[in-house]
Amino acid sequence: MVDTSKLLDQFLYDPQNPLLFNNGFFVFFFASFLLLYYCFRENVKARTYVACLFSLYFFYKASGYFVVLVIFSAIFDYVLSNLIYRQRSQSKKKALLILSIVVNVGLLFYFKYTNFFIGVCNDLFKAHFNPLNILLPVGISFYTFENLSYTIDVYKGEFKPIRRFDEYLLFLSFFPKLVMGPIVRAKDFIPQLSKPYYVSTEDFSKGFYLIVVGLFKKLVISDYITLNFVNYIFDDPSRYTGLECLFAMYGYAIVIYCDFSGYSDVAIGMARWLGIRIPSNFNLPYQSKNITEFWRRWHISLSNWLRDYIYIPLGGNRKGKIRAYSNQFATMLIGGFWHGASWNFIIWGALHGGALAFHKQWQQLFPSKKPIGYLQNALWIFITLNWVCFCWIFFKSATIDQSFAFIKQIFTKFDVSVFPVFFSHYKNVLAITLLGVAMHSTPASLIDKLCIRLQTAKLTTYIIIFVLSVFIYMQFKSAEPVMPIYLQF
Amino acid sequence: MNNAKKVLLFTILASLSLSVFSLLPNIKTRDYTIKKIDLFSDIKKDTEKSATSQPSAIVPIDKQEEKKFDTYSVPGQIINFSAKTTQPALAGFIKKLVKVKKERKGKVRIAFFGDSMIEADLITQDLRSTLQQTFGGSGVGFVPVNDISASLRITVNSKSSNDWIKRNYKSENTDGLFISGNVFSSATGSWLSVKDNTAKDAVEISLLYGKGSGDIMLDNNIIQIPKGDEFNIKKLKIANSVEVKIQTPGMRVFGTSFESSSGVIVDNFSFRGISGVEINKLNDDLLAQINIKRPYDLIILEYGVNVLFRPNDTNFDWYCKKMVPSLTKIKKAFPEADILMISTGDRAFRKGDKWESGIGVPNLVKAQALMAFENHVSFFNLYETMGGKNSIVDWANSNPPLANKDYVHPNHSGAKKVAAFLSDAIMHEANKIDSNK
Repeated sequence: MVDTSKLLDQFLYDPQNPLLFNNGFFVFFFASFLLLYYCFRENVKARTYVACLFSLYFFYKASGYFVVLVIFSAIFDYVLSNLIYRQRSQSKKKALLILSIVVNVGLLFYFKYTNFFIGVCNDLFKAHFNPLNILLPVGISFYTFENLSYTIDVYKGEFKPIRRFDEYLLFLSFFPKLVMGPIVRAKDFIPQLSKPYYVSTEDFSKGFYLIVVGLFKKLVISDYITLNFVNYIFDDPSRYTGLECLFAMYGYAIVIYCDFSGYSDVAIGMARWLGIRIPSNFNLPYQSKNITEFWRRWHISLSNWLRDYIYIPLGGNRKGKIRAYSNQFATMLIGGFWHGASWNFIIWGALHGGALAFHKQWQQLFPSKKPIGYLQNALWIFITLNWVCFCWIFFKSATIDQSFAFIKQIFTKFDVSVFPVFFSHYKNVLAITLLGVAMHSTPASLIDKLCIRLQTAKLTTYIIIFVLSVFIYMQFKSAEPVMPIYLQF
Repeated sequence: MNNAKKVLLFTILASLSLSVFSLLPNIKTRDYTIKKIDLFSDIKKDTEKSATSQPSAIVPIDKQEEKKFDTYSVPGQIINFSAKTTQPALAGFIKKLVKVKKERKGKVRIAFFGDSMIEADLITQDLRSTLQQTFGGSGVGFVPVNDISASLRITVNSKSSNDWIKRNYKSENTDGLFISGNVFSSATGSWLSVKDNTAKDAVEISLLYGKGSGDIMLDNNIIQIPKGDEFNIKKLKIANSVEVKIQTPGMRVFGTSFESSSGVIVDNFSFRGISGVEINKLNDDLLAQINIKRPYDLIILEYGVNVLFRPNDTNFDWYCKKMVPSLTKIKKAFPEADILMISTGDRAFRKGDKWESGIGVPNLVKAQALMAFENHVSFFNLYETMGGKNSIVDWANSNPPLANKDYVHPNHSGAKKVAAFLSDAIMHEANKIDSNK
């Protein structure tokens, strides 16, 4: 029944099947990790080593020998930050900082953007450079930013460099947040490593909630809508009516929220079970009344990072209005490019940067005096939501042409008459989308109440809920596919 | 209270429970299989794992039968699983074909059902032309009142007024659809105009219509259409083109047909985006009427690319479950006709910056072959004939290209090639009759 060679292969990296939270292998990985972590709970050093080794092994299972890269980065920044700290001369400090930035950003550029720039060169100068065969190491975008913030904080004197290398390595490679964030700061993360392994009753129930619901968002809602609807439309928008494109746009808004926040939730939940707090990354983003608020609620760890390490160093709003707007714009442009090496992400960043600058100007022209009414509130939420969704078209489409084809369908090929057939064909997809909307809109107070209720539950209840949830994930994972249909008849 | 121990206990107990559940079998109810939790799917032996992704036979096939079934992978040939290879496949059709050629009388009618692969008369236009040249006959066959690809079609010029009320496979109400998957209800004064570009000589032009009676205007004459059945034919004239105006609202019209008095007639029934399961929506009475008034000798079913809509799908049992009723329906409605199931062609998906065949294409081909095998109809392996894995990529990248860059659809040249594969395969069967004499 069991193939021994396959069993052994499980312990090696498989490019076709990189380790994620939803692999069967992860269950055993996490259980063995916890067993050792718990055994060494009193010994901070040993505990950290265990976490480091498992994190590096996770990295290896997710990205193969690129694990060497994260170790190199850790050594490099660990040494450099200590040198910066000890260095008296300001100019030498600065030189070391620049070296750190150049190496970190250089590595990120090499792996993520080389082929993009080769393409740009070929287009601009009619050159014929062949694209290189470069694979992107998992999590490099995230840990590069973590490295940068660390060295910059040390340079600014806000943070004393860490003595122990293992702690720094764990900070970079901590497996729950390695693949998709949140981006954590050393000053928040590292002090927690030396505290006793303590999980409060609240931590336990909240962690459980975050893991179960996070997996549900990712595996049920996001995957189902993507595979059974959104991908069809985005792959070839011109074959579908504007109505379908519009629904796909909203559908994708739910997909990306559930996918990203779901993964973050699982990461935060697991960390909580290990006695480590990671701040939340999403806070009802689609209920924002303006774009500035949206960025305070969406991928919070990234927007805070961009604010602290790009926007403010560029001068923030301290150098006049025009500079403030262009800083805002530039920050978002970089933020967009960080998401991926294509013009689509640059456009996406520019659209958000432009909107942020526009909102700033608007606030100055029409400063709000009194609290706004319910209807007006809803109107602003509606406008913000639609702008964000519109921008997602560029984020999701594979090419610029495809984005414009998509928009063209919405504005020129909108046909309401197809709705009944669309509805009856995609009713499961629509129902799951609504569920996603409901999960997005659940207020924190309700979640807290639920978690308090959970606190009194017995361990068996937790296990039953968990097994049932996994059972539900399985049904969706292999659910009968919903076929695409073509309605433009 | 420190819950660290609870975390550990939970994790270990939950892993154990999941492991125990992984050992249980799937639970099958009548129409749904409840999938169990499976933590060990990655370490099980291949035979077990592939059982879920390979198409499953409804009735287990024994060793000897399996040998016959395995012929499905032979490229370029019409596979008749049950007959000897010296006997022609599609025997009834082939015999009639040879007879019609010899005697120069009688009609052999082919219905070619398919998806966007045959849109705008692609494949069928070349197959028709070759068969008519070899065995006689002229005329383009069935032309719908209106079609999404009407303007792209070379073999006819067809136009119609905008006031026809259309219903089709995708409508909520599918009552009274023609086998093309469409029905058009007239408004007062709705018109259609069709010119057959294929026939050199005048051919017989008929109006194919459904329930309802009324008046039509043809060449300034008013003709009364009597109340008919679900399917009716009204001969209009002998010519190459026709213009008809419907005076009475609410008449159900399907289209026109252009046929010589004898020889081969090939009807193109393309419908974009479908997989063939839609055929089951057709009305049995209507099919029975067609079988009496306009019977077919060969019915070709060309579907599959729309079943391959996701790059990583490998299990198509769900499709077979839905497609078999359509196949049964066609067999029952046209008991005299031979049926040929054409497998899906190759279809590629983007993988990084490369295009590669969907990993499930061979599985779908096998599933389709299994359907043909179990339902005793003939099979043509288009996928292998095109060249198998990644052939659509080669077709699209060849110079001149044979397929569109969507890596799904053969273009005009590619369609010509596919038609040649089919007509060669038919000729191969026809030659068996000559050599058997």
